[in-house]
Amino acid sequence: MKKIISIIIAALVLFSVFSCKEEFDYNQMTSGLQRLVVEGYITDVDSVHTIKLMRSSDYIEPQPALPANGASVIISDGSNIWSFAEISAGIYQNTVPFYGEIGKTYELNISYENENYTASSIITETLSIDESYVYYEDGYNLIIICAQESETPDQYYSVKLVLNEVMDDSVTNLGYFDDQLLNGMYMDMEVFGFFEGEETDTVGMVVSSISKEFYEYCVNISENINVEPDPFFSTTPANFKGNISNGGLGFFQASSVISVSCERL
Amino acid sequence: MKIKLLIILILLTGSLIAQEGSSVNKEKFTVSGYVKDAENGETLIGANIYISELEVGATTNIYGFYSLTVPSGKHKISFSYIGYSESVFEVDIEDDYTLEVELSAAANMITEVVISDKKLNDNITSNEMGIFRLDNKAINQIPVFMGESDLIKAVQLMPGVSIASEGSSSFIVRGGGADQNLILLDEATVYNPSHLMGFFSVFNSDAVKDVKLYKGDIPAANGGRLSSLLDVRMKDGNKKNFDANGGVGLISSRLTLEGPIVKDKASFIISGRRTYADLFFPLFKKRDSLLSQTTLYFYDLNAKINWDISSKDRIFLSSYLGKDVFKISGQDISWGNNTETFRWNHIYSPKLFSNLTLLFSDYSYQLASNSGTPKYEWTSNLRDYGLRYDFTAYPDSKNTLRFGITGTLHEFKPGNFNVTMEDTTFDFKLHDSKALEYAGYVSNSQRIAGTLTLDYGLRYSFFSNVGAATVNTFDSNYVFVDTVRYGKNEFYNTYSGFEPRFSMTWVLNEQSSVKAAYNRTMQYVQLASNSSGGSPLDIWFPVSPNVKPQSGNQWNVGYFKNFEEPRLETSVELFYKQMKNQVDFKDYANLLLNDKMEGELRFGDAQAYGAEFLVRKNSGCLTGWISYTLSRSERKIDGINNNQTYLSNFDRTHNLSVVATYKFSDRLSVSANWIYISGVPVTLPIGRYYFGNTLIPVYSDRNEARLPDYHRMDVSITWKNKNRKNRRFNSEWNFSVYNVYNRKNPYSYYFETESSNPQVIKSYKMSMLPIVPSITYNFNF
Repeated sequence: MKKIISIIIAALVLFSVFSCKEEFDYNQMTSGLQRLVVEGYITDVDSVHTIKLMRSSDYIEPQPALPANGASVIISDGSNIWSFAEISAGIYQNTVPFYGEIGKTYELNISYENENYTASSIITETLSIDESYVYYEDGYNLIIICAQESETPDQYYSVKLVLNEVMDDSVTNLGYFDDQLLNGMYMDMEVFGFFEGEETDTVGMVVSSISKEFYEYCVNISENINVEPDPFFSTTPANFKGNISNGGLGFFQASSVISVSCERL
Repeated sequence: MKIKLLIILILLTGSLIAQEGSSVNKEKFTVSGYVKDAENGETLIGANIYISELEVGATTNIYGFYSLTVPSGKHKISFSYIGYSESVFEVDIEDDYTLEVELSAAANMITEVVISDKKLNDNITSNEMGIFRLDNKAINQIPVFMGESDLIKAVQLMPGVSIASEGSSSFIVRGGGADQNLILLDEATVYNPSHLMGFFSVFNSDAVKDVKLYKGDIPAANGGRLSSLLDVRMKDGNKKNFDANGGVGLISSRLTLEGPIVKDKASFIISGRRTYADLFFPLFKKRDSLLSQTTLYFYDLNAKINWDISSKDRIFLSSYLGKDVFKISGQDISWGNNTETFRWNHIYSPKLFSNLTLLFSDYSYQLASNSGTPKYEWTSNLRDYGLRYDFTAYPDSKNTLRFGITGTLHEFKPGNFNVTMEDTTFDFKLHDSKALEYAGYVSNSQRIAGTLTLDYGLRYSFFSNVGAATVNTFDSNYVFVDTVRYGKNEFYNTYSGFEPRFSMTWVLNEQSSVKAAYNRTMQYVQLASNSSGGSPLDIWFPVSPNVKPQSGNQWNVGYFKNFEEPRLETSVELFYKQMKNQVDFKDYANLLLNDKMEGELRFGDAQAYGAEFLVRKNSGCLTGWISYTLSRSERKIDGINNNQTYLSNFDRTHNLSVVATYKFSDRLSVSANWIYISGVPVTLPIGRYYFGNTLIPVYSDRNEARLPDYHRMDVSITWKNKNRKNRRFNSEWNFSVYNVYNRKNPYSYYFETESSNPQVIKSYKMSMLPIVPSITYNFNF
């Protein structure tokens, strides 16, 4: 339904035949803002989990992510503590293998430049996928999955596409859905819609259970950045709300994941 | 506080009765009647009646009625109205006396007053502040956009008022939201005053007689909105002669017909407009194929009849119907307002005037797609059925007592959404709801000695949500908990509140006065929109168990001074406004077709304060005004901006309007206006970070930055064709240029990552209306 609403809005906004877009030099009001950014995941399958730590930088300055070096990173589940080491600039991984368990809460503790940051996340169950197919038509691929959604209400999922063994990590290309209309149902549905591709592509995906907060974080980002504003429906921008304390940006998410490779029809 | 006010009111009413008692030694009688325009029989609003030897006077009310109680004997009564010749009647009053007066427009008056039709020093002596009045002539002099003179565009040039966004028909009054303005057309609420996304307002100025904007001193008779009342009155129709006038423009044409049904007894007016801009869209075929397939127009129709049944009874029936239609690539969108008003004026006695009004108002929109997949239809509407009974009593020459009751049944049908995909249909309906809004009021306008006038009143309003209804409940974190069902016609939630109103004018001398006013207002219905400009997909929603009513307290003081040479009216007004239970929306709220929308709302308080300066010249070759407002509007909303105070979207620090008309000759006049407004507060990115390879902006605090200042100049030239003797046909050409120096006023900034290098951000300014010239031919006969 959201899609239809956005079509309608797009039609209305075609009034922008009256509007004019002009490039200009943006002078940022304040500069030098540097905040810690966390992109951390732990899962119930991996034995290696990655917590990526970065620093924010000036908006208009064309530069890549700045790594946050020399932080101390630990994860605990209340009874166990695992410490993470910096294996390359800003990339922290666990030194002892472990995997997350459904129903447990994991707490992330970071100490960086004399500041402490924490976040916690609980693992909920993911879909149980029986079959997944990929179907090709006129330069586009379409994924269909047959899966059982659990009886637990208010569950949220993200889907990452793995195309020719490369996983697309970008938030804006993430697929996501909730179980409001499908709670406890057996699903037979398409996940991404048609996406550009070849008939020879190998297609897979990773479905993760995520929290409502992470779901909203991803949805808000992908619906609101790089979207041309109009004078009628544009919302006031605001920082995308993550779960890192002490002014940290980004998100720490503990998930139950399932990876599948799709059978070509 | 409330009890204190009641006591004051009782004391004052007591003093009123005491005064009556002390002056029984000489018998008193009442002179009353209507004051009308001799040429067309239209009643004159705010005409002055004065007996100089007694130093008593009265003004006609909104229906042109006056009543003045004087001691028996011979009196010279003068009737005056600006732009009209004064009439003096010598009357020997031995009994109650009905005196109906027709005033003639003054021919070739040197001091022709065109901007307003007020008595010359009316601004000094009238116990009104924070108001601005315009008549049809004044509106027509302001440079037009695309050939359509527009009263909302004129209102936006008044002190304390600013445009909500470029081209928009919404306006902001003293730092309040666009939905805090009550817009009445012949007493019926107009919920969306916009045509064509706001480039035009729904008011056809050919059918409009009088417009009054109350910013700081809303009469006790009206309520329901915090910030202002825009009271638009339609013409009654010429009672003497048949009259036609109209205009042919580049994108629209209009025609108004009016005349007597029974001479001097009954008349009608019918006025219509239709735009045809889309006829030109096929010309853009080469450049823009989408545009060439677009249909886009609006029409509206105003009609009114009135009938003087007897010297004591008059009835009016007025109707407005307007619709916008927009079709583009298989999508049909239409929206419009419909209002109907029936009124009955009855004079119970020379000292008691009454008006009974029945009202209907409807705002609806439909969106549909009949081709392609999926097909859908989305309908929404809001309907009001209202009744009000207002009385004006004139106990003596010093007091005017107003009282009445009003009730409105609101019916909200926020959305019904129906989607058809290949072989499945999907029906989604937002919960309908009903509510009853009712109030009673009493107020008195009292002249104490010659120099002090007081107006004090009390309004008590109620708002009840009425079943059948499904209401969602939320916990303290706005998380949905459950739904509750209420039975048909069940009053399941009622709010109410006192709304005291007070104003005073102290006339220092003939040329200057000091005024003060206090207003408390309540608002029970509001708009769910997170853009300030408004859109056709407006969702009005009522208070409910989850949403408390908004309330506002406003204090104003002002100093008014007139100068003789050149004749100028000047004023300075200060205001402070406190607003409670203001509604904002959580970050990235979902307001469209969301049946749990109330969970997206956040509440808090707001305040606005400022100073307004006005210099107005109403006579001579050069007429117009300069208004400047310095103000601030801020809010503190729970859950927004880390609960810190922020500038509201309606904050405009500086707001300057210069409006001028120069009359070179009887045939040629040139008008221009220039406006300058501080940039709208915005939230802008100050940092970046990457998450999952996506570049994500870090934003400043809410509304910490501003867009560039807005300024624009419009010019218009009116050239009247030679007026031949013995011919009733008059015509004129109007050439207008909107945004003369083609200023690109940004309504937004837009940032985009470059596709070839995702680390590079490109910044854009988005603006709307460039220079727009237009030409219109107007006629009347």
